Amino acid sequence: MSSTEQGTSSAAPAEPTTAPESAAAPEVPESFYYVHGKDKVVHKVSAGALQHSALIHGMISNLGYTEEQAKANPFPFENIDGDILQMVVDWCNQHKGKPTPPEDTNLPKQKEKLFDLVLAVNYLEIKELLTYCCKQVAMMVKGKSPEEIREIWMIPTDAEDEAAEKEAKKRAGKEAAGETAAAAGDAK
Amino acid sequence: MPPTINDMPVNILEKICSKLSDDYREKYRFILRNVCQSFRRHVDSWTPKIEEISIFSNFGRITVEFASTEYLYDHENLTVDDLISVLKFPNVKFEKLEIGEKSEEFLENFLLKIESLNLKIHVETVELNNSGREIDILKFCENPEILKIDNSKKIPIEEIIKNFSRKIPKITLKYDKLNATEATEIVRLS
Repeated sequence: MSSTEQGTSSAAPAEPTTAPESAAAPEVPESFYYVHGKDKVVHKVSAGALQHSALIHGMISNLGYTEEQAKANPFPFENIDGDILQMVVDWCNQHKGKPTPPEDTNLPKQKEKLFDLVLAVNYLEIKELLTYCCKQVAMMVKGKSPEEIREIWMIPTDAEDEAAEKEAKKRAGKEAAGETAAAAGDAK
Repeated sequence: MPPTINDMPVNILEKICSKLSDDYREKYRFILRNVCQSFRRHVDSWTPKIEEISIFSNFGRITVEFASTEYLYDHENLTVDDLISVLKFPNVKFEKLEIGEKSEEFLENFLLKIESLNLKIHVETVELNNSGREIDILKFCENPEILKIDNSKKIPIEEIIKNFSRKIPKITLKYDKLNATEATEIVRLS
């Protein structure tokens, strides 16, 4: 595993939104957790930022890790690309302890990245970010015709779909026949 | 392979659709179901709201008004498919089904499809601009309460009434011209 640490330093610092009574309270040191994606790059994230993710929040509550244990055992998200996890971490850091705005215009414009982000955010159960992402995906096709929607979202037509399915079946049939022939040859 | 919209789980696809507009299930119903097979499967699970459906035809182009949204079609097969997808819900009673100017071929296909599926259309008001086979739709309408017919072709009232085995709806007939004998006959039958 790479020991690269990408922590909260790159993210915009959160504006203090402390309530008046908490200002007087003694400051509790913030705890940090570690996550990594497919690329094994470890990201150091504060517990406050991770509160956005219901999945990670649940994991933290259930495991009761100390900081050392957390550092030694980063949460692995092998199904999430490194750059996507970085986006998620940045978003969580930027919105740590803040009420989420009604719109978020800093989401990726490239649809493949956006779809990747949607899947990651859905998996990590980050409700607000998921809402923003879904809205951005929807806005791509608002007011469009079925043909335009197909083009924008790169969806094959029914005919293309059927042709691809037939081709896949044909290929699978040929492969199966090849395997049977090879097995028969081996038996001889 | 990067993910596509078809890789989205059903709950996410629904959430994306919900961001299109407040009344996305009405406004985007017939748009999304013509995008691809998987969208069609998803959209067809949406129970339609109790709404009005109007069908008009003009020089081969068919217009369907559904839930205050107008859809234009060049292919009648698509129109029939979209209409059947909402009419097939057994527990939905539509407010109004209106069939406007004639489109013999469309009606032929529409009626054939309804008959082959043995569909019963649950609708409160049926409004027909009767220029040909429109009246045949009545066979498939389950106890409508109101029937309005532009009967300028003067189809005999018996022909209309025979479509209702149980309860005859309140019928309003519109004529361009009627002579005294024809008017008397209508009054006598009513």
